[in-house]
Amino acid sequence: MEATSSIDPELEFTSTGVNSSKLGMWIFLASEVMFFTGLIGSYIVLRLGSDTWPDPSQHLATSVLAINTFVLICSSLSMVLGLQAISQGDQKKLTKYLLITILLGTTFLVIKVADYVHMIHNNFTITSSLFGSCYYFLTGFHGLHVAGGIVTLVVVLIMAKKGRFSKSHYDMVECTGLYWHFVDLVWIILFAILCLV
Amino acid sequence: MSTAPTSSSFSPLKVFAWLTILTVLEIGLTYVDLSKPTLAAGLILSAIAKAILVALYFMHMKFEGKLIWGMVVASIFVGVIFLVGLVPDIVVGYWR
Repeated sequence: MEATSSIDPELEFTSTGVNSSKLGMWIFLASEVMFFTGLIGSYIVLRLGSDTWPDPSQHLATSVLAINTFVLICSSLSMVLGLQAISQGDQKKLTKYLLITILLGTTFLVIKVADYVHMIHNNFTITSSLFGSCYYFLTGFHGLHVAGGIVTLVVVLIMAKKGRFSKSHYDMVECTGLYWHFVDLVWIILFAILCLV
Repeated sequence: MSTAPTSSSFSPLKVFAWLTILTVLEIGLTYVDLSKPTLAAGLILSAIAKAILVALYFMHMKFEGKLIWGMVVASIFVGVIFLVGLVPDIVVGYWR
């Protein structure tokens, strides 16, 4: 007698109890935690080991960066709302919230680039000082992560427009959301330790 | 199968409100006349609180099982070991 399975392969769980794509994303995020810990650790060593360190407000437009922080928090909210929408089977709302998330992420990057241009005009560059090197290096790497997130979100948006996600199948939205929130979380830390402390 | 928590599990707007309040508090702290260590401690604590809120609710860690928690805790543990390992470098400051 031929064995048959009534379980849809798409709905099948791994032996870990967590679906593979989500587990893969969490493993990737665990490696990212260590990546950013390395960068932040280097910054702490350089900062605490230096005899003098400039006041960040002398070089940085703190209010602009605070607005940027708010923009990224808003983008996280829209991502969560998008995920909740598709978990209830609402594809239209998912598309709407994905678009808002992309727009907010792009706004963050545009403000960041404008901030870089402004600072470079004020002679605060990556070679100006140890603080300059740390600031551009850390925020630059974070910016690259945001850019990568936006590209992924655009792919997810195109898939959503094609109706590729449903109430029971939205792993990719969930994984992209995890990555996006992680990028937000990293900025929250960077904003405090680089721009305010 | 997708397993994200439903809207009834938590209120994203409430978490968003807390994140906004904490960000405003951080900015406000920089205008208060505090000593450097107190200001740093306040800002870092606020940033950690915000990061925990994002991880627990937006990243749904509150609703995850032991496997995900184990991975996250392990990666943070390795990170902490790394930071502690850097303390001699901070003390010596060999690049000066």
